[in-house]
Amino acid sequence: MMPDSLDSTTDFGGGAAAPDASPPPRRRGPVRLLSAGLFLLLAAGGGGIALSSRRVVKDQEKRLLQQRSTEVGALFNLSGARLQEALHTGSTVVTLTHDDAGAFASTAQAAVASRLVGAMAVVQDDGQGGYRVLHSQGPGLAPDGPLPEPVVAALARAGSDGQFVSTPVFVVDGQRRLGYAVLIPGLTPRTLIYGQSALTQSTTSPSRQNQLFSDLDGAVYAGSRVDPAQLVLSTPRFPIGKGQVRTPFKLGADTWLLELSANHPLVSTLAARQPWLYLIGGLLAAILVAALVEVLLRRRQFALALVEERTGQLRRSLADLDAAQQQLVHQERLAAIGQLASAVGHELRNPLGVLGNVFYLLRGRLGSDDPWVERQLATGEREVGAATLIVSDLLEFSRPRQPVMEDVDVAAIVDEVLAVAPPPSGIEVARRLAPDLPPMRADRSQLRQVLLNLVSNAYDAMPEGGLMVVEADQVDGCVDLTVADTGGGIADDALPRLFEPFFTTKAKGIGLGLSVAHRIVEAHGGSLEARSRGGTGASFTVTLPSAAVPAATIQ
Amino acid sequence: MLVVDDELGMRETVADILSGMGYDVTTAIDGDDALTQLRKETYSVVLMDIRMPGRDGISILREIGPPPPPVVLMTAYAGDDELRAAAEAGSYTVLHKPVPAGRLLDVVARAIAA
Repeated sequence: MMPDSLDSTTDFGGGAAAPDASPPPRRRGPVRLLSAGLFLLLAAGGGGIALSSRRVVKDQEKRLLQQRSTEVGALFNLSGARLQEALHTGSTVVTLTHDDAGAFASTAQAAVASRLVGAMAVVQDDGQGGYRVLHSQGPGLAPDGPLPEPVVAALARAGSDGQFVSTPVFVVDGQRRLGYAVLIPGLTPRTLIYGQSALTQSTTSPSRQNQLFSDLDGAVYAGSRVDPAQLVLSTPRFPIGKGQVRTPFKLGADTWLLELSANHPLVSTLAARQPWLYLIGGLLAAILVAALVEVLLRRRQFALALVEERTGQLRRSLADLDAAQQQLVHQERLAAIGQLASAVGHELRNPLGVLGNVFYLLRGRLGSDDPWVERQLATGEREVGAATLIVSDLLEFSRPRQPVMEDVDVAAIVDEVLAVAPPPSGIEVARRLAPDLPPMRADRSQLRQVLLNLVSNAYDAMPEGGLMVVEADQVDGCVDLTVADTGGGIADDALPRLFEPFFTTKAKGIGLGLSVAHRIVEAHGGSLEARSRGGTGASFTVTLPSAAVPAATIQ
Repeated sequence: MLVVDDELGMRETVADILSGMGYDVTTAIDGDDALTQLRKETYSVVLMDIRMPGRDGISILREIGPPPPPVVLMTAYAGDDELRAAAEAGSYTVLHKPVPAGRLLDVVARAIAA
């Protein structure tokens, strides 16, 4: 019964992207205790108001009926007054005319004609506990006829206060009758005016009933009790003895009873419906408020979950940003170091070149007669060569340039490299270059750098001495140039990382040589392969395309 | 032949190496100096640094001639653009410093023969 509007609008976009994010909250959870409680409270409140309102309506209904009942009683009272007047008129006529039968007859005729009574008579105490009829007018009252016992009892009650008395309902010849009597003052023996009416099933016409009961249902009893035998008058279909209110009223000297029921709501329609309105209104309000609270609760839960998720994302983003920034700073620093390295390298190349020239000139002047001089010169040349290689690697690494291809004679470049980097003592060098090798297509300076790196690595791999073989072969339009050593080989775990910058297994060196060599060879469209022969040495092979032109034409 | 380099050490040692081999060597300290020398005399080979104060080797190369002598450019570092420009301007070859003396003499001999 709770509307769940969140179902259609909830969107946890991006939530699945984060593996560590808590799962999105269930959207179709149980109704919260708070909203359920609110609903019950409000519904109960509505019901309570409806109940009390119903009681108020009932009370009002009863009060209205009571009021109407009093009014109806007053009407009967009025009828009683008219009856009394008629009886008194008879009494006065008898007194004034000294019991003139003719005068009485005309008076009684008028009373009967006005339908106040069915018959009228002058009755007198017969001195034997009974009454006899002196004169009579109307049906059912014969002169000198005996009067029934209930009538006699009533006649005995009539006093000198002028009030008329009424008989209970009595039955003569199967006909229900009712009588009224008033004492004629000043006559002896007791003489009274007696009126009598026959009660039919409906003693009065509907219009008369209407006049009496208006729009109500009810009954009138002779006497002060509800007694079907004493029923004088009732509206059709009125359940005798089941009326909602009972009102006694005065009729002459006696008290009669009026019983009434409302056959339609006396309270206005809208007012009568108030309890239902309260009940329905209360229920609606309860549903609305509870639904609202439920929706708000779910919204809040959803919002909280969302905030948590977004906070997590934000935190991760911040962490990513932080890492990225640090990487940027790192890269910036690396770039600065690269710039510095290349600037330093550039500045060092000239002096190194000059030093190399100086050694060359010195060697030319001093000759090689003196082994001591020769040794110093060789050491100087070797160290200049090593420094030059380091500078060249640094420059090539920090500012790589595209190769400028030319045809390079393999034997010449090998000789040049071996001249610049002669083997240290204890290391033999074997040149095994195939005859009729075509030139390589390469950037001469870069190829020289590659070879210098491979040769210098080979020397470093054999500190105890050994054999370095430089081999060159022609294979399928390419030239394979291999530098092999008889050193300790390359460890298995080092092999895959060999061409990474700054990766080195040597105690000295910055670990750029092979990485730069690899990059240069790849830029040539060739390949550089490393092989390890267990613990007995390693070999590096540069494969580059060969030139189609004859070797003789190259410089 | 003419050796052009703003660096004293490089200029002197290269000149010494070449003259040691019997070549007749003149030196110039920068581009303008080189142009002055080239207008005065005819050289069989010019060895010239690329990066120099004032006018660089490549722009001098463009002004030499006709007929131009073979010009061997030398550089401590040259980017791809400079190398391309040197080739387009008609240099004989570009040597990357440091140039071993043997290689230098070899290239000079080839350039003279060309």
